[in-house]
Amino acid sequence: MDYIIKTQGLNYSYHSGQTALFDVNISIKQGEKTAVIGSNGSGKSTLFLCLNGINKPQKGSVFFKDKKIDYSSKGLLNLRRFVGIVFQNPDDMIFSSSVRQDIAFGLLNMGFSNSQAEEKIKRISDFLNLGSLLDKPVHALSGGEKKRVSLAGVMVMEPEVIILDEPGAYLDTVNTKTVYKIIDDLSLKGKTVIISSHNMDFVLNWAESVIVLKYGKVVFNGKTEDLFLNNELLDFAGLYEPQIIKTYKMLINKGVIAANSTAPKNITELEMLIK
Amino acid sequence: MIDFVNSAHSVKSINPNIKAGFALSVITACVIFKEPLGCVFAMFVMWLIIIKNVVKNDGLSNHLIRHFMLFPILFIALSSFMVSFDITDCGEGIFSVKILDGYFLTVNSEGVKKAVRLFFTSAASLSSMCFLSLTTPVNDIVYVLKTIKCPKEITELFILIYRFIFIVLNMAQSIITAQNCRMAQRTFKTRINSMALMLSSVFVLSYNKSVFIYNAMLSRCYSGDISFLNVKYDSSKKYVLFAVLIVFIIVLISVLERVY
Ligand SMILES: Nc1ncnc2c1ncn2[C@@H]1O[C@H](COP(=O)(O)OP(=O)(O)O)[C@@H](O)[C@H]1O
Ligand SMILES: [Mg+2]
Repeated sequence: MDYIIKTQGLNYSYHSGQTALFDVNISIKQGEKTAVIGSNGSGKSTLFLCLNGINKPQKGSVFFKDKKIDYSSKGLLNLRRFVGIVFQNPDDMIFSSSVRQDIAFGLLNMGFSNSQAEEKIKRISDFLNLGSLLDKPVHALSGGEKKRVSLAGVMVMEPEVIILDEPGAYLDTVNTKTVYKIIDDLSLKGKTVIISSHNMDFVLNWAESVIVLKYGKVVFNGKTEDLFLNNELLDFAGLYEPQIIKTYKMLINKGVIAANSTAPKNITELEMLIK
Repeated sequence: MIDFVNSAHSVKSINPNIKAGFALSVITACVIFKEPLGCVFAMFVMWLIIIKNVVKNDGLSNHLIRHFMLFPILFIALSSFMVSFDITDCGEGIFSVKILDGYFLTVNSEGVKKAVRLFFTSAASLSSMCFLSLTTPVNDIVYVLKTIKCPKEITELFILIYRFIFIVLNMAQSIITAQNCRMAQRTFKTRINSMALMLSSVFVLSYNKSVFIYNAMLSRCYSGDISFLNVKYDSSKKYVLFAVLIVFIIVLISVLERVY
């Protein structure tokens, strides 16, 4: 079992007639850090909802661990235990009255008892530093706190695959850093993490493989380095070149670093090349 | 007794059924007797608890409470004031104005008594409701609804509406701000127009929002039944005793007041 999630000829249109996904074939390896990128409206969120069984494609199919998604209510519940999704806007995710109740929501749906749920909530709130917020009403939270609560609500269910739709959206620098740190921790724990992002420097540094969408079609599905060294493709997909890659190319032109050196993923790697 | 109120360091942890029962029986006692002194006592107790606990412990500002209370109190005062007026055909009483031939707008002692009673009864009831809403988070109200075997559909609706109020208010607020930035308030006509636009987009947006929220619930294994963590409540007898005592004192004061 190489791939944890795979799609075959996926087509999805909204009721309005808008076709949001067109013949999408992707495969995501178990434990691989995967980024889905593309301009606004390219279909990232729609694709994510398909992977979680919320959007049922009109054509094609989604496989989870080599098994086709079973769209019966029992099959879907089973799928959603393993594939969790954190929406872009935390206000769409948090609907209980207190933080504690909201984090408990998924756990209680999964059939955990009260005491088991309390135990897990305790652990996740220690991990995400939510202890002081647990008994606050949700409308009194700041943006960064809401994001962490919405992450906690999904992470506490311990899914094998965690999908994060634009995790940096609405957040300031400090909170973005916190969230990226959490994402790294998730990968370290062996979870398969899939995120969508507009921050190319982050994607370059973090992702092992990338899926690029344009107007609902997959235009690239492969290794991160291959994408970012391919200017034509970046232009075609409406993406920009990460700063690090720009600097790297400039330094090659100026003869500061060797032309055959491997492309750096972050500042530290670039620094090593210069030395 | 003040000691008691102080020692109950967190009214929030008391079993909500006791609190709801307490608030409701105080209201009932006040409404049945309608005696000002009894009501004043009830108000005194309620506000003592609110101030000693909510204001001190939760850091809820006095400012907020004043805002919270000002409008209802004004409203009650005004409507009680209106009740004290009476239209009669003889210009007697404490005060009277001739309004039409042979008719007088008068204030007599009967009317004033009625108004005073009405004012104190409503103020006491309002204080009880304030006590309940300020010391009882919405989950606990849901707990009360569940204990009185309120249908599941209504309970769930209640939760979603509660959450939605804040989302819709936020949405309306940001739309109004955006409109004001673009001169929506320039004339009466633009004002009405932007109000209509705001309402219609809030309607559409809240529909979209509900789709998102429903999706989010589904993605977390929702299958048609919202469950809650049961929080352990403090149901010790002393609170029940306290509640019964207070209601008893209110009844006693009211009866004595009526007799004398
Ligand atoms: N609920 C919806 N109803 C109708 N059309 C939608 C809906 N959600 C998204 N779309 C359309 O589907 C396309 C893909 O949207 P989306 O998946 O949200 O893109 P992304 O997340 O990449 O920005 C867009 O053209 C968008 O207008
Ligand atoms: Mg999106």
